[in-house]
Amino acid sequence: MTDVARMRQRSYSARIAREVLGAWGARIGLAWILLLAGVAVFAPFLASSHPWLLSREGSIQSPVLAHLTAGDVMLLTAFLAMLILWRLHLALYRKGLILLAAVLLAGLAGGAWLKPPQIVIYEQYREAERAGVYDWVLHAPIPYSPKDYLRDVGQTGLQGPLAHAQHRHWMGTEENGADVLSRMIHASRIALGIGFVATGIAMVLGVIIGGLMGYFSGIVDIIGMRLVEIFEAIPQLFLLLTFVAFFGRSLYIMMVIIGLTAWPGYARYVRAEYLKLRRQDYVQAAVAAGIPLTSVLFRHILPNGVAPILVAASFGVASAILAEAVLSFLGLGLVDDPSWGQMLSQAVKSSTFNWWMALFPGGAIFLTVLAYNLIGESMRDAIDPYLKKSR
Amino acid sequence: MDRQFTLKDLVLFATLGLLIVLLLVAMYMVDRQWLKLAAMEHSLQEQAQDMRALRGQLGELERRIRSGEVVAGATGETTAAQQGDAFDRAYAASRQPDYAEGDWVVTAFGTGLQTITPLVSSDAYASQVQSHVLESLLTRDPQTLEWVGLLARSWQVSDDGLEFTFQMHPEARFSDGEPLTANDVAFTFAFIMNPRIAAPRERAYYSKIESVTATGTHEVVFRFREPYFNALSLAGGLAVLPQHFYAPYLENPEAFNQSKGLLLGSGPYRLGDARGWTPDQGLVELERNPRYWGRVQPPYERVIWRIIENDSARLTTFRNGDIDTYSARPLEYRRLLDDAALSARARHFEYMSPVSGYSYIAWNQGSAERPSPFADRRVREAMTWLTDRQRIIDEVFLGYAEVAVSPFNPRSRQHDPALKPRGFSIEKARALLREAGYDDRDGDGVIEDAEGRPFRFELTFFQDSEDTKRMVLLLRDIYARAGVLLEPKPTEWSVMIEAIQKRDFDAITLGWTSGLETDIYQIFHSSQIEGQADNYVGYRNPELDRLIDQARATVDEDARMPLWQAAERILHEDQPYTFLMRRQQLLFVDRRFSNLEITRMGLNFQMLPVETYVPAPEQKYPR
Repeated sequence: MTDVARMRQRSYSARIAREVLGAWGARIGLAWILLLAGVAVFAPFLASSHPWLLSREGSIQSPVLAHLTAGDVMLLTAFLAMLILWRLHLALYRKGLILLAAVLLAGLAGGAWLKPPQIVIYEQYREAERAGVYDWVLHAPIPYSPKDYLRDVGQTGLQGPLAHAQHRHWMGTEENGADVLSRMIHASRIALGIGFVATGIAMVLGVIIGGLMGYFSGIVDIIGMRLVEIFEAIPQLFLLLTFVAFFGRSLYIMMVIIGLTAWPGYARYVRAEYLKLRRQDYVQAAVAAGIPLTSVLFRHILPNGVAPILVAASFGVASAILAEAVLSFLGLGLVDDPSWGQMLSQAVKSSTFNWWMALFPGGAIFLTVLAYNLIGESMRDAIDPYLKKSR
Repeated sequence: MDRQFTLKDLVLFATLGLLIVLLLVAMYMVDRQWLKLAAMEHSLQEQAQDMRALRGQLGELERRIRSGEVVAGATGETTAAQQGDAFDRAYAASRQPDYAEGDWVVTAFGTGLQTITPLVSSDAYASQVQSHVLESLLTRDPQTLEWVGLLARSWQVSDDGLEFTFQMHPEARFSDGEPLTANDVAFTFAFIMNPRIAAPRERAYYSKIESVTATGTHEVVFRFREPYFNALSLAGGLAVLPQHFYAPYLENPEAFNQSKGLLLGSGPYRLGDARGWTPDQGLVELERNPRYWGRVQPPYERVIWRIIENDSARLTTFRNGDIDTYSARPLEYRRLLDDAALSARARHFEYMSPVSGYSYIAWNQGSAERPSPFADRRVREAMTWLTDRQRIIDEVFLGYAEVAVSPFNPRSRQHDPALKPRGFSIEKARALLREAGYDDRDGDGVIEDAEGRPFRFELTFFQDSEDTKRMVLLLRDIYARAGVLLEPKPTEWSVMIEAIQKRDFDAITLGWTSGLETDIYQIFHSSQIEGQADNYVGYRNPELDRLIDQARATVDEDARMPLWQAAERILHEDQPYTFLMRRQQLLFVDRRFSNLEITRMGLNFQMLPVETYVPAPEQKYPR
């Protein structure tokens, strides 16, 4: 790729970005997503029963750091790497590669060196504090972990916000007595993660299959489209229900299933773009120059046809979040890992309407899905001038 | 131009007029027929009512005469059987001043029914429906718990305890009018034992009976292969099926095995169409059997079970007055007690039903070749010391339960009152686990075995039960303090059954229902490990096997009870299960029902013969 081509590409993406961010809806949506991402990355520091710092007979310990997992470290690394890469002048795909390498490295290092205790007894700090063992303690802003059911306090759960004088719960407690705000914060990880990973899987599959279909057309296209039709006929939710019933509940299985069933939509988009682009002069020139097929497909055609897929992806993330929420709402989500849908399903538990269980998780799901849709819509407006004109 | 009024027109108008008059007359006639029909229906209904009353009086008269005979010829029958009959309590209820017939009972089932055909169905809901339609020879008095006659008038036991002879009520009839005779009893047994009929569970159960013979029209003899402590209940509890209705299905057993609603019997209620029920109706509706033979006629016109699977939907339906009972979870119950609108229209009952059973955690001991950690008795005992049952009861079930010591109900004579449940002690558990080779070798808080593998196990539980989920999460936190890792594994019901059949689980929490005298053979005898029998934890103890066999073969109650108690001590020692608790029933019942009473068998609301009623001014449904 020449510098000129790169400049042109960057200016196109910069133009799109400027146009997208010009719309107020997209700005608000992006702000919400960034807020969620920040909360998700720093969740263990924001809401945790493990104090940030404590002094015990003169020695200073940090239980929060001791309980960090490899996953936490990976997220933090990704966040820091993105902050640094943001300012560097590098090609987008190089930035991506560096980010991926950093995250993998952090994951491996974390997995090798970090040994968070397998047994977590959340009450121990409160008990020790009551017994006066610590000289001083520095708590997290929300001093409850999502799975801390406050057994030592004897809470029965499902109490409204600020019902308890000593133990303040800004958003109340859920059915087992855990703090709702803490669970909301940690659940944002699941919501964002499932959206990005599932959509990522779907996009990779969709781009590869759709690209091959569009580029070769003919018999490949015919077979590919039949495959697309078969996969489109699979009802996603029922497949998820069946898998959960027989193979247990795992977030990763959910992500993979949502990803494996969502790719046909992307494949259709990519196929259409490739059908349009494959007879263009620059593609013909690339083929004539003897550039390998993968380069032609993914380095020459793809950057020019990727825009509509990004639009679809932003809607796809929203629908993946909804799918997980629906599953959790039906009581088939994770066992006691926090999830918005699972909390929402507690709103009508035990014969009363618990408004805080409806308002906060429901609101978070609504806002997140809305944010992705707003971004997707203004992206579509920016990319597709015809659509904009017809308004 | 004027048209003339001709003769033709006159004839036409006359015919038309005549037609109109005829039509009016015909309408009047039809109307009179309807009125007549209504009057006839009314008188028929009155006659039916009279007949029911007459039948009741006749039955009562017969009972008096017979009890008179018994007094006159006191030397006659020597059996302990003649202590009144099943209808005594219902009769007493019908003598109350505000007693009235009429009204419906509408309740709800929490899951859908697949079939209500007897023998083919296996769930408790179906058997509740069948208990209203089918009758057996004997039943238990809910207060004294003694056997009393239902279809049987009297019965004798042979000296060797192997032969039971029943004399039946001659007036007993099925709801289609056919008389119920000893042949029907013999047929029922033959029907169950026919291998082409899909009733393997019943067949295994009744295989202790050698033969059932009708020795007269109303006398039947059960002969047992060997002495069996529960023989009377086995023979007397056999639900009698009508031969004329079910015999044709022997030709075509598949039609029976796959049927949804083939239900006909002699009970106080019947299906409107004995062959016509299907699951897609979403409810089971029984109507009063107009030919009921019993001394006391049932008061309710209809008994209906609606199928409402969702808990909150069921509660809303109950609040709206569309169903008459609601069984609440503890947390919910506590909240509903403060609900003024609800307590205005419903009474609440908390009671311990002797047949409701116990819940437990079963520890899979693995196979003989590959034993699991739980094959070690000390590990199981340690788990019991760790399971803080009192705390579970207080925090999850809000005190509406009691700690279970063993499979035997503490109110029954099978229980040895000297046995006390183990309390909660982390120290004792730790010591036992250390003895068994589990210790924290690397200082991470988790205990490991000699090879350094952490003590970690999955606890399988039913995913839709909120209370169980709360309990499992509590247990996980308690076990963690001793360094034991519990991983909750919520499972769908069908998958859970499969896991049990394949023995593919570490530990599982479930409940067993129990009877008044619990037979532990299926669950703890080592012969029940093979195949897909109920000893699915693979528990083996030759001494216990011997005690169970001996107790089952001992007919004399006073000799049998010490054997059960010895078996109980072994179970207490070995802890193949950690017995958790027995839960109370928490039930709301509509206030219009009268004569509700908690008996030793539980609430008498849907007990048969029906002894509750709705006084006339409070009746809600039309006659």
